[in-house]
Amino acid sequence: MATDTVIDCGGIGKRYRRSWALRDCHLAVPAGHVVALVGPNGAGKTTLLSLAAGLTLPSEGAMTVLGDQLPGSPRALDRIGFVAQNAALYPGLPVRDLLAIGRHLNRRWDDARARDHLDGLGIPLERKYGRLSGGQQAQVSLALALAKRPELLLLDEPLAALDPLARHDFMSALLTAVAEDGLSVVFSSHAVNELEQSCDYLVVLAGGRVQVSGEVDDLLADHRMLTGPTAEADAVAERLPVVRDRRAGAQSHLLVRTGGVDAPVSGGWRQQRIGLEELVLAYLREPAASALPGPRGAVRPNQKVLS
Amino acid sequence: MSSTTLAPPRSAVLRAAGLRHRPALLTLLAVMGVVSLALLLHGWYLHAGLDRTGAGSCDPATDACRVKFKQFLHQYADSVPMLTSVSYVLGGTFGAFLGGPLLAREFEHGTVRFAWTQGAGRSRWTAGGLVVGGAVLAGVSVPFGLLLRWWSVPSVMASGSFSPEAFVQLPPVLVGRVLVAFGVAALAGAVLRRTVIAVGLGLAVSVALPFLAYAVRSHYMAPVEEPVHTLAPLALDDRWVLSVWFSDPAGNRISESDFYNLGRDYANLQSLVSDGGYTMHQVYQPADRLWPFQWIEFGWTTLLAVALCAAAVWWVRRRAA
Repeated sequence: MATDTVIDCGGIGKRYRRSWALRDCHLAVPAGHVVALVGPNGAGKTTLLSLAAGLTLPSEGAMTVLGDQLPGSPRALDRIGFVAQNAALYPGLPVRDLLAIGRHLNRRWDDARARDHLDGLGIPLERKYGRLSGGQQAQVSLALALAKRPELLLLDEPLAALDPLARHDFMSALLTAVAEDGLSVVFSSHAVNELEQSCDYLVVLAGGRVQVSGEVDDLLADHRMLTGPTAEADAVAERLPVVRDRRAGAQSHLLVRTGGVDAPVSGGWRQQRIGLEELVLAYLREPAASALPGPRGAVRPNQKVLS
Repeated sequence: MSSTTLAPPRSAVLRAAGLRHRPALLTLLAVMGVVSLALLLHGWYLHAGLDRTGAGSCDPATDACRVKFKQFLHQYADSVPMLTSVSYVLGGTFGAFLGGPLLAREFEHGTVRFAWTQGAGRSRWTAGGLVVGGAVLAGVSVPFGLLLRWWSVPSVMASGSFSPEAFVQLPPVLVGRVLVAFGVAALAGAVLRRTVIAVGLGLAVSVALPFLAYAVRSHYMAPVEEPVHTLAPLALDDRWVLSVWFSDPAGNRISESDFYNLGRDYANLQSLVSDGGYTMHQVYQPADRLWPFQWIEFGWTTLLAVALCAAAVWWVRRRAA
């Protein structure tokens, strides 16, 4: 089955009691990417991943995963791997039993792969899960999720509780699997500085809405940091969409979207490309700005037929 | 779309649930083993007492035997009434302690996010855990009930098989009660997501259930009525006397207090019913209804337990994680 989007939602919302964790959220994540889902605490990252994993149901709107599957349906569960925040598994069970449970609960199961993964890291199968280190626990969760040979892997803050070495090991295990299987990955993260090496697609959530969505290369090509005289700043800001506007005395810094070319500004201005971290931080500081570019950007509600 | 064929077979889900709950089941067996050992030792002590006093082997209809039994009770069985009330609580406790954490702990530890995202799906996973837990619980409750019965022989000799405390210790009723406690605790765990509260609710229901069951038990079958011409208890017959009423020689019904006002003492009243034309009418459940009553009570309590477990699965199915 050809699958062109791994997560597709138009106007989805999720309310917990009185407050909306996610509201009017439009997102279409194409297949074949490693997608970083970033945003401040409470932005709705965990909610979005829980909806995609079928753990929770939307309060409004609908979501499809892997093309046209409903999250939580048997077909979707079969093809999606999920690694929860803090990678919680049964602490009293040895790793061997966790593998057996996974084998019994899934039709698709690659036991050899999980064992190779854990052997390679020297994680003993007899050890109880609760007695493993945080990094080892995360690796066991990842091994269990990858053994399903998923087409889409969802990871909720997989790196949050790990030390730098464990983070590196985890990401390299993940990226090896991506390279081998070509699976799509969506992971949420706070570690903005580590995104550049790992992801090629970025989704920024803020206040329960999608603020930025696009391929990293496109996003980086689309933005310029302009530095120039404050006296001309207003004129520039009128012609170009400004993401972030900082004016300090005589000099101003404008982060603008240029549509992939250099900004048409006078010689008094210096323009630079920016890195992913800087881009993400700029958007996080300016919740009102948005970048939903390209033909694969967010789907408008009137274009999306809700099922 | 044949979505139902996608999930792994049921037997595999049951095996997975067995692995998942193995530590809890082993703990249950260990605790039951320790309790059983204590009951075995105390039971052995009581049965040795029955043999030594001769109260176990004599004809209970005879006065000599009653004296022997009183002697036995005096020497050995002072603690039996108290222990019998403990055994009321004991069976349900196992159910509550196994059922409470079964679902609540999944929520508390966040393991639902692993378990519910596997190919089998949340409904099968929940149902598998309940089936494995319930089946093991029912299985071990049968020998435990037999042991309780053997241990409580003195109490049965004293008050009959239909006495509330003896009736609830026989395996069928015990299994039903344990399963209801299990079901209540599991459902409470699914809804409230707190192990301690779930276990507490299971315990409360398992203690309340014998009283509820006792209130409805006499209505399982229409009672039998029999005219009797003696006031002495029918020692050999293990019947469950529900009530008595009296009639005068003309056949008119008279109230119990009116009858007792007729005579001066017990001998006088006894002569009224044996020779004076007065009749005592016993309304009772015959002794041979013990097992039918056991199975009736087993039936409705087990159905209740199945309904509670089904409700837990339904709740998990419709609720978000």
